[in-house]
Amino acid sequence: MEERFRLNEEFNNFSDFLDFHYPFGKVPKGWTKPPHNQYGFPLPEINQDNAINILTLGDSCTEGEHYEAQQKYPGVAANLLSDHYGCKVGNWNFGLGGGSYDFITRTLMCGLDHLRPDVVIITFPTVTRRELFKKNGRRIRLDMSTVISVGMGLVNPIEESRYYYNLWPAIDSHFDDTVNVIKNFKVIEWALNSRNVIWGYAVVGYSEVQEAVETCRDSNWMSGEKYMGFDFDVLDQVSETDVHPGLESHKSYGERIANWLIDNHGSQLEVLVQESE
Amino acid sequence: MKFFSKSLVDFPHKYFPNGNMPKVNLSCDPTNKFGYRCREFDDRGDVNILFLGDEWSLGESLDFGLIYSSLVCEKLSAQCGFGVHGFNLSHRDKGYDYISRTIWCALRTLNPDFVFICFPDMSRREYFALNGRCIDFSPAKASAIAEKRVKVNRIERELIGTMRDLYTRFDEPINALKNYVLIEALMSETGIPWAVSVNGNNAANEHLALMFEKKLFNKERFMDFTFDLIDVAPDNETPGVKSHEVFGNQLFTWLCDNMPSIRRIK
Repeated sequence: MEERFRLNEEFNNFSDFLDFHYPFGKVPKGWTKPPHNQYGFPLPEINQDNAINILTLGDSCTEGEHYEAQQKYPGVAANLLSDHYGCKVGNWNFGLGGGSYDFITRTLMCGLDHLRPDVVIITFPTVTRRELFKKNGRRIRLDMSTVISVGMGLVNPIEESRYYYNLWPAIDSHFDDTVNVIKNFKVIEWALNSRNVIWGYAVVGYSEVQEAVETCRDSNWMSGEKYMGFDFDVLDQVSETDVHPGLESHKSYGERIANWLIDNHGSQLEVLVQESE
Repeated sequence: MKFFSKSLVDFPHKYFPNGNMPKVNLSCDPTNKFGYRCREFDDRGDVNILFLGDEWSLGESLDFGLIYSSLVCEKLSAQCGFGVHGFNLSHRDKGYDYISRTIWCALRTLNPDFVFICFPDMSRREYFALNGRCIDFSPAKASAIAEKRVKVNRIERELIGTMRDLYTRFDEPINALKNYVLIEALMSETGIPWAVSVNGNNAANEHLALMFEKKLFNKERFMDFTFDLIDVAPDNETPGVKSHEVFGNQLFTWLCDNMPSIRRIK
């Protein structure tokens, strides 16, 4: 399982490291196995030749690795919008297993001006997941559920990663996670608002994640203005042993996103369609 | 009835209060009601400037009137003919995390006319522990604790030891970068003018040139001079009177030359 997150990149110096993880004006590399596009994400090469381009960001729930692109919620939403407006809609699904607030911010901060999406939908993952860089500069995602899985032998990390999983429990703190969330969110909010991108957010539909984000919103340090008002509810799951959202969940969430966009940003989307004709 | 709900208890309100500045506990005297080494926040001037940095900008072993923030405001007041009030929010042992958090709080409560930041060492962090307490981390502090030159309680020693083992030479500047971007977001959103310099030591400057080259830090925000250690204060560690005087003069001249509102007043 942990192998999915390894790119085996090498860095001779800090400059190489920045070029790889923080390539300002480009898209930071995703970490899926081939086949993937030039950015390392499991989707075709980005095609700007659409009336509306939708960038979706999130974790494994958004990636939906078991399903075809059209079955996952970004594909469901894109198809419905395409039918509604009678135009081509780009489905740029940048969800990745192990994705975190840090990863989403990094992707937008570096890649937004390069990708120039018309719409961004973010489905935020667990607040407890953090992105750190190991002594060799390779990325590692750290959260307690992974640490527990490692401890139970369900995940077998390479030795260099085991070191970090062993250290993490001592400093895992929900207060620190909360601060990380509101800081990341503020940067995301500014990046998208300042470019007049149509955007909305929700969270993965697990109660502890919903409660944690609600905490941040209640505090008045995280805006609820762009919250779509619903989350990625887990109506069914991939299998008895895989708790990721199943096909019915993807369909329902994709439909709600399409309806939310039509109801709240219909006139802006119509302008985009007219401009493309 | 949300008053006692988990969601309200779990947020570090003490460090991100609504409608107020977070309180700090500096060792210098006097401080204002919130613990900062500056005038009371409601004692506003015609022009109000925030200064943020670490112990270099705080200058706690020097007379208050001799630190660069005081000198700049005094000179600007004399030049403009009305009250320019400075609010020095600098804090010992703090870094980019503290500066972004404090600016965020200050922008919501203090309504400044200008914000000046003097960035310290990139490796410093704030960590919010399970009991909600903020713990300052730096590799230098971790070494001092490990070598028993600094005494802390067992929990803090273990936390700081873990952070020393966990954070790498790559993580440190990335944390600084993330906070810099947050500051840029906050300042852009409000439209309040701001500028940046750095402490003139290796720890603060090490990665700056590269960050500029990669366009991750906006070079235009940075003044072309740093806060140099020309002499040393009585604490034998931070800049002395001459250093503050030189930096204060540079900052004053820069503000007169580059700030449209101040130039208009001038």
